[in-house]
Amino acid sequence: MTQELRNALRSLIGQSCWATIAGAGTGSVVSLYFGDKIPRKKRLTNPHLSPEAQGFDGEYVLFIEESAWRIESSEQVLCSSLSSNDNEGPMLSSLHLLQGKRVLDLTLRTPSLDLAVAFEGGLMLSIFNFHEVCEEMDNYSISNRRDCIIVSTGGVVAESRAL
Amino acid sequence: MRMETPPPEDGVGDESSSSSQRRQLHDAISGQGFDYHEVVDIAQQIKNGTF
Repeated sequence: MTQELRNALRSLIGQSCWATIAGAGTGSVVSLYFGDKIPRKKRLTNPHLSPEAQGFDGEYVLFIEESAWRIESSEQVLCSSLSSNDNEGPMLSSLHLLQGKRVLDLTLRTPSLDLAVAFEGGLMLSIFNFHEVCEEMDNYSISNRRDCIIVSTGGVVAESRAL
Repeated sequence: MRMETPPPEDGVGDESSSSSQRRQLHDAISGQGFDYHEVVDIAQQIKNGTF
């Protein structure tokens, strides 16, 4: 299953991130949209989303759930999963910097399955998974049109993408 | 590292929900500061396919 994860992640290379979704009420959970814009069956009314994210889902979506993460430029750490997720805070402003940037490279570390995503402009998104916790939890997932590959504390699993 | 609003029981966010459903919930509520009951309502709509 790790190979399926690698294949799914590889599909992000060369794709631009066109939306990021995070904010108050959802802690450090983040969605990053890439690839084609797939029309939603029903437009999301969340006023904090861009018009594109309200109307379209991503062909590829990187969804960070139960992980620590960090965004860095080549010169400094811009934010982490513990940063403020207020509208004017460092988390949203840093995520905004990723929008319009292409993915240049990915590094999947084993056996932790920590992930580093290198974007244009010297920006790096690093995801650090939790291990040895009492309950099984999903660290992050990568979805394409058909499947969702999930990295969890119990291993790598796939589920069909049912939106 | 977790949603600030506790995941509703018998709705999206509990262990029976799919990752796609949890993402759908996240994208619907993020930034809005909904209270628990509002999140439960949206989660149940997602779960039963009416959202």
